[in-house]
Amino acid sequence: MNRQSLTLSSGNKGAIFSIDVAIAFFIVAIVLFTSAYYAGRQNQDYLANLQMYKAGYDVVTVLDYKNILNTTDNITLQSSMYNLTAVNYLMKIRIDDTNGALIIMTNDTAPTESLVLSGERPIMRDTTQAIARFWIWPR
Amino acid sequence: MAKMRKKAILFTLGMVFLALSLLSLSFLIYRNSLSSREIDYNAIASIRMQNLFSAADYHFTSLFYNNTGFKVTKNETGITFRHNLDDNFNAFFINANKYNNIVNKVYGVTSTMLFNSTEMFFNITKSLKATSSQIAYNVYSGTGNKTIVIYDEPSVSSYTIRVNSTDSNGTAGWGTVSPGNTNFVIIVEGQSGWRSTSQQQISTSSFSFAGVSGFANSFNITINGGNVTIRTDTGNLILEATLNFSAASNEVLLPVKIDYNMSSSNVFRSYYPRIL
Repeated sequence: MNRQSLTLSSGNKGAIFSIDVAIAFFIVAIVLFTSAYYAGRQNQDYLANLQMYKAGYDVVTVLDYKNILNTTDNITLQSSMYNLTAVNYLMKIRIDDTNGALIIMTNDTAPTESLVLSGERPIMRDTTQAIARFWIWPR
Repeated sequence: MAKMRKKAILFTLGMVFLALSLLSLSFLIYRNSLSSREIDYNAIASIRMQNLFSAADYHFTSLFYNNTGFKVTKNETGITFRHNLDDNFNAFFINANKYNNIVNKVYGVTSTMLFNSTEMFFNITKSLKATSSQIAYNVYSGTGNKTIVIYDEPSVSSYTIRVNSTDSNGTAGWGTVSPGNTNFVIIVEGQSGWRSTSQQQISTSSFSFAGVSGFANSFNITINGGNVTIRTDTGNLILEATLNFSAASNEVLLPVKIDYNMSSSNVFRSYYPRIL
């Protein structure tokens, strides 16, 4: 009698403990895989951002090679930039002298609520050094 | 009882094994996330560096061509250097220094330019073997005599030295000739349409000497030990030296060494920008 009740009570406790552990593992696994999934998604965003960053540099480089960063005409700079920028991005370019004074700038305004990446390229405008800065963001 | 104890131990071991598996999985995911971020930062730094190098190459080359009057051209059969012997490199160095300063400012790098303002050494290298210089075109542009030395392995099959002068006459001729297999042509041209040509098959390893008579000032060419030395004490000449060899895969490097040191990103680069 004594032996029977011992087996019953121990057996029940064991089963509850096992179920408890299984549920705990299940929950931990779900949390783990969900975080892994979002971490993976974040990596995909990094790649998209890198692509956008590189696209911005490409546009400024081509404008430099075409000698358009030398222009003083805002419309020329603006239209050349639009022609080179991929359709899914928008850009703004600003050229400053070495003291940070504005030489020429395109018209678009970078949004405040979405991701904007920026870079710069050291250039020569004839015999004067200048900095071409760009901002790029998804359309 | 012993059987139950054994079961309990196995159960505990199973749980421990499962827990360890989960723990190692979470550790792997964490490490993967960290390394992805590291790759991302490296990729951003790499894009910035790539842009810096492309900008520097482009602007140093543009400044060189815009400030010196030098023309370096290449085709399948050779490379031609054309320049006025009166040209100096001062304007180029002033503007290249300005550009170097803006690079330092924008990129926060320690960038230094090393050059010799009176001796410009244009190395011609194989693009796939950038370290081994085969041919060099060296311009000494200090005061007094102008000297051009073409250093050459025996890869140049023929030379054409063309001199364009404001003198009204002149005759190209050879004083000493060591016969060999290298075709050497000297062409002298003047403003009134006169032209004098002299051609010899010479050995570049032995001594040969050529000159131009009739010029107001001296102009001569010495070939010896594989090198061609052109000397003149008159500046107002346009010299065009064509070196014929298989030039398809060759590059001409600017004689200005650029050292970049970006210690924060562990980026160091020491190189000569390409002008061709």
